Amino acid sequence: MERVPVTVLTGYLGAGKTTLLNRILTEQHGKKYAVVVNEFGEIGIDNDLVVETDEEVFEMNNGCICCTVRGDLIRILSGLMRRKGKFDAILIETTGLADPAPVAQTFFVDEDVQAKAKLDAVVTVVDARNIEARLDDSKEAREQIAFADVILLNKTDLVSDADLDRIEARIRGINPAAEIHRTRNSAIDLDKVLDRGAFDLDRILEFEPDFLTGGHVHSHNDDITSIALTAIDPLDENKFNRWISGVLQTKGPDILRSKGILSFAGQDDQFVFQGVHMLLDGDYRKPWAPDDPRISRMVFIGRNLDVPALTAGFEACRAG
Amino acid sequence: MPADFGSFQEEVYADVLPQSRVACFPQEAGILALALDGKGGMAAALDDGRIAVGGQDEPVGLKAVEVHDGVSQALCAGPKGGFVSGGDDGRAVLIDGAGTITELVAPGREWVGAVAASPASGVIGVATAKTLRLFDATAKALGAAPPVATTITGIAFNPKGKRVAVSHYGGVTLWFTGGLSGTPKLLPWKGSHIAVTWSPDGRFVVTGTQDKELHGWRVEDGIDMRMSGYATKVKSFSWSADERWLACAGSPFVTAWDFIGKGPMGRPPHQFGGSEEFIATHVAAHPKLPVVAAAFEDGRIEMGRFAVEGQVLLKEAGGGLPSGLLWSADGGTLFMSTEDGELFVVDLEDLKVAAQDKKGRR
Repeated sequence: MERVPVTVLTGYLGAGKTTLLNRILTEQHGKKYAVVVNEFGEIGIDNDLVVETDEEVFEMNNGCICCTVRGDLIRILSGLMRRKGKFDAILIETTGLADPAPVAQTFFVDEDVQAKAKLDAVVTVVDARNIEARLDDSKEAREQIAFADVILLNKTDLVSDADLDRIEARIRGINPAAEIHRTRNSAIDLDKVLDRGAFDLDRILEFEPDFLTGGHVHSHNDDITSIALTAIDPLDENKFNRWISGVLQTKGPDILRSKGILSFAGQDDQFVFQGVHMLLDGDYRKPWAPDDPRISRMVFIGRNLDVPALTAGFEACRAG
Repeated sequence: MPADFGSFQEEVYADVLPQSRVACFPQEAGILALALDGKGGMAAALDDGRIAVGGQDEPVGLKAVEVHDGVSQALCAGPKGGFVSGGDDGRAVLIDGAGTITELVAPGREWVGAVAASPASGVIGVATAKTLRLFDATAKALGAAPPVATTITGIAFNPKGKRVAVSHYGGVTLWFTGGLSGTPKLLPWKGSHIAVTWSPDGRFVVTGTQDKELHGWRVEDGIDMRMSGYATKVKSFSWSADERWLACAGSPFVTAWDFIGKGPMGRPPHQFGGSEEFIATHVAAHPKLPVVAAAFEDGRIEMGRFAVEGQVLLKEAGGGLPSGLLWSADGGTLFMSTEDGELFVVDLEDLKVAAQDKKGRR
C-alpha cells in the first residue's frame, strides 16, 4: 500500500507558515489534504480536514535518552488512516517554538505510523528581517534551521540583497544540506515544498544534494554547525558501523541530523543512510555507475561537534 | 442512509477441525472494529463513518446507519445491550440493535479516543481528549472528571463497575464512578500507555505501552509488574474465563501471563502458535473454556489452550488485515472482521456443547 507523505512546516510565529499552508491548500487542486495544526488560525479549509492538536512530547523507555516522540501525532495519523479514501498528503504545522526532533522521530519509532505514512520533508519558513536576531537568542530557531530539508527565506522584499547573502551564508553554516529558496509572501512552486522525499533513501541518491559536492565547516559562532566528511578510498563496513554507533550512542543528543552515501569495500552498491539524533535508517541502494568515482560522503549537523575527532574517526574507517 | 449489505456469499475457508466451518460475509465497506453484545447483537464500525448493526445469527442482514462525520475511533458493547461508538468528529453515541441512535456527546473538535461500558453497574465511559465522561445505561450524564495531563488512550472498569481506570502518558488514573470530583488515585509508570484492562478478579490493572511492553499494577498496593518481549505495541488482550490468564497479541505468537497468586512476575508467559513472519493482532479468550483464539496479520486464526502446548488452525491465511476477533456469549461461534470489509464466522458447535457440559458438571 502506498504510504501517505507527511510534510512538516516549522518556523517562528509570523515567519509565514500559515501563508504557505494556505497557498498549498488553495493552489493544489484536486488533492485531498489533512492538516494538523496546533490551533485553528486563518486557514482556508474547503475540501480539506483540519485537526487541532496539543503537542504532546513523550519520552520513550528504550534506553535512548534523546528519543522523544509526538504522542498526539501517533494517535492522529493512525486515526486518520482508518478513513476510507484517506488523503493524498498530510501537512503538520508546528508551533513557533516546537522542536522538530520529536516529530521526525515519530516516523522512525512508531510502527503504526510507519506502516501507513512517511515523513516527506521538514520545511522551515524564516523571516529574513529577524532571523539573525532569532538565531542569536533562540535555541528553537537554530534547531528548526538545522532540521530543515527545505528552507524558505521569506520576506526578502524587506531586506537588502547584501543582507540576504549574509543570512544565507549563516544558514548554510548551520545546515549545508537543505535547499534554500528566497521568497516573498511565502510564494513558491509547490513542487519545491511537497513530495520532496527528503527521508527517502532513493531520493537522497537521486538528488545528490549540495552536501555531496564536498564541504567545509562554516563558523558564525552558532552552537549548531555542520561537518561534511569525504573519503576517496573505500570504507570498511564493520569499522564504519562500529564508529557511527559509537558516535550516535555518545553524541546522539547533540547530533541533530546525519546523511551519507558510502562506498564499502567489496560492495558494488551504494550504501545510503540518514538519521535523526540516535535513530538511523540505512540500506544498500543502486550500484555505483562504472565511470563515477566511488567517493564516500557524509554530513553531520549538530551542536558542539568535535571536528578533529569526527574527521579522525571517519578516516579510520578506511578499509585495509 | 441505511444500506443493503450486498448479496449473501458464504465461502468455506477451512475445514481443519472436523466440526468447524468458516464462512465469509463480505460487507460493502472496510470494518474498523467489531463488538458483540451478550444478547445476540452485533455492531461493526465501518471506514465510511457508518455503524452496521444486526443479529449475530444473520451477518448478511446488518443495517448500516450514519453516525460519524469521519470514522469511529472506539467501539464497545453497551452496558445493558446495544453499542457505544466514539469518533474523530468528537461525537459519542449509544446505538441499539435496530440502529436507533442516542447521542452521548455532541460533535466537537476533540476526538473521542476511548469508550467502555460496565454490564455490572450499567455505566458508560467516554473519553474526549483529556476528559472522562460517565453516563448511565439510558445515556443520562453522570458527570465528567477533571482533565488528566495528557490525552486518554483507554478506559477500563473494575468487575463491579464501581471504579474506572484511564490510561495516558505517565500511567493510569483511577476514579470511583460515584466520585469523579474526588481525588483520583494515580498508578504511575514512565512512558506512554496506550490501552488498559482491569482483571476480572479486580486485583490488577494492566496497560499496553508505546515501548512495546505490558505494565501491570496490583491495585491494592500499587506494586509494579513489567512484561516485555513484544514485537509491536500490545493493543489487544483478553482474560481467561477462569480469570487466571491474560492472553496478549503483539508478537508472532500468543502470550498468556499467569496472574494467579502474586501475579506474573518471575514466571515466563505461556506461548503458542504463530509463525516467524506474522504478528498476532487480536486475541479472544473463550467465554467458558480455558482456550484462546488469536488472529494474525495474514488472516489466520489459531486456537490454543492455556498452559497446554500446541494449537489448532481454525482459519487459513487469507482476507484483509484483522480488525476484530470476538466469541459469541455461548462460545459456539467466533467472529473476525477485517479492514477489507470481510466478516468471517467460525462455527464451533462442539465448543458450545463442551461449554454446556462443563457448566452441567459444576
